Amino acid sequence: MIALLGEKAGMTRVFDEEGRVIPVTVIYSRPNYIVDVRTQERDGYNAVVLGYGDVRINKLTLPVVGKFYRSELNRIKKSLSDKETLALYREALGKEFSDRERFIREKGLDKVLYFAVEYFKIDENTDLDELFPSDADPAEIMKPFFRFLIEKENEESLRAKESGISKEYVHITLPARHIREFRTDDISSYQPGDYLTVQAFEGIEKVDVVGRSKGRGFAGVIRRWNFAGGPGAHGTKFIRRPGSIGASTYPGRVIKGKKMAGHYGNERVTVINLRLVSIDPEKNLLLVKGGIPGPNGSVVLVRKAKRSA
Amino acid sequence: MNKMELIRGVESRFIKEDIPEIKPGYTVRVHVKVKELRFNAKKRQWEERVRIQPFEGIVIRMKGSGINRTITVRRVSHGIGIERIFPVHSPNIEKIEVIKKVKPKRAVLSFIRNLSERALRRKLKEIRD
Repeated sequence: MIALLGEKAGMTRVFDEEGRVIPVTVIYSRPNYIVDVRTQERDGYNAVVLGYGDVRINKLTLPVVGKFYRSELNRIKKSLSDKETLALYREALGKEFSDRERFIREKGLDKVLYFAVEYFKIDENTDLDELFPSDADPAEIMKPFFRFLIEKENEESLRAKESGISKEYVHITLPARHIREFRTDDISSYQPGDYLTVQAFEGIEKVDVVGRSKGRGFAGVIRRWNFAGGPGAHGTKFIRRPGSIGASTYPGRVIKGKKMAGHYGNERVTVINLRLVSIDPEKNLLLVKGGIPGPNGSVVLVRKAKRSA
Repeated sequence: MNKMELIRGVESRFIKEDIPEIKPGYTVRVHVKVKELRFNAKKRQWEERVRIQPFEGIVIRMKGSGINRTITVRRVSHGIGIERIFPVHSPNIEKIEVIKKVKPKRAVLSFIRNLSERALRRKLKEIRD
């Protein structure tokens, strides 16, 4: 099993080799962050936890922040073991606030990593394996660091206000606004803190898409259940009504599950066995034949088809 | 990234740049690629062959924009009116030539179906440049 989170970008049409038109939905799926890997021993089942989209660290509750201990530790370790990357962050460290922010934005640096360098005092001579031993409890190392980050985030916002930089740019973000998991027994190839890209779908023909359908509020039976409705003229009052909902004395009640007016939409919908028309690893796009639930811009889960024939 | 840009990016692979300006009322010749199987007597086997088939007629309606653009072309062949709808960006369309330009007064020219040749000439005045 393989799955990815993405955003529904919208629909268009493409042509195949024969020149036939294929209606497609474009799904924009930036690299998915692996927040955690669940294992049989620890959690009772095997699964990969995916994160998608950036979120301010202060928007999260502490229990949610706790999910990131292992992955962020791995990410810090991995990214900063690269000497060139570390040098960039070291360079940013010495700068004045507004200069530093500009530098970080221009070079596409990550603020969590930046503060990791500051907090753990990492320089060229630091042995990361010694600083973060692999048998240590990630929570022990990361908990105080994340508390530090949360404090910093408030401080940074204030400083941004003072120096007139847009607040959006200075936020400390974690790469998982939306967290979803998928089960798989082959967890050895997934490492918390890594990223999963659309290339993971290479060679897959059919996918399922899980999303949240557009909410339609309290809808009548015509819209919700495709009832025919009445004639609408010639003195009738039976226009958009449901009509009879059952017999009289026997059974003397309305049968369970009777289709009536009520809340429609805004529920989890899965569309199965859509053809994966093509993938674009460069632009992080998936092209899927046909429509998928939800408005444009909504987050959907794309997974390898579970029940493809 | 902007969602519309992403979609334009997907479409750009198929969008043709060399399509002439077409308006309802114009007479066009659409060169359609037709795939057909032919029996090669020498090799004693069926062969696939792509042939170009021109379809000439009056554009009576245009629909959609960008990659979704289609044109409806009407021609009268042996006294029988034939209307075909072409997606102009389809790879099956080799090219589209504009044969005659007129000044369109309607966006949809359904009314020409009921006109005689003579009345049609009067309604659609040719413009020469």
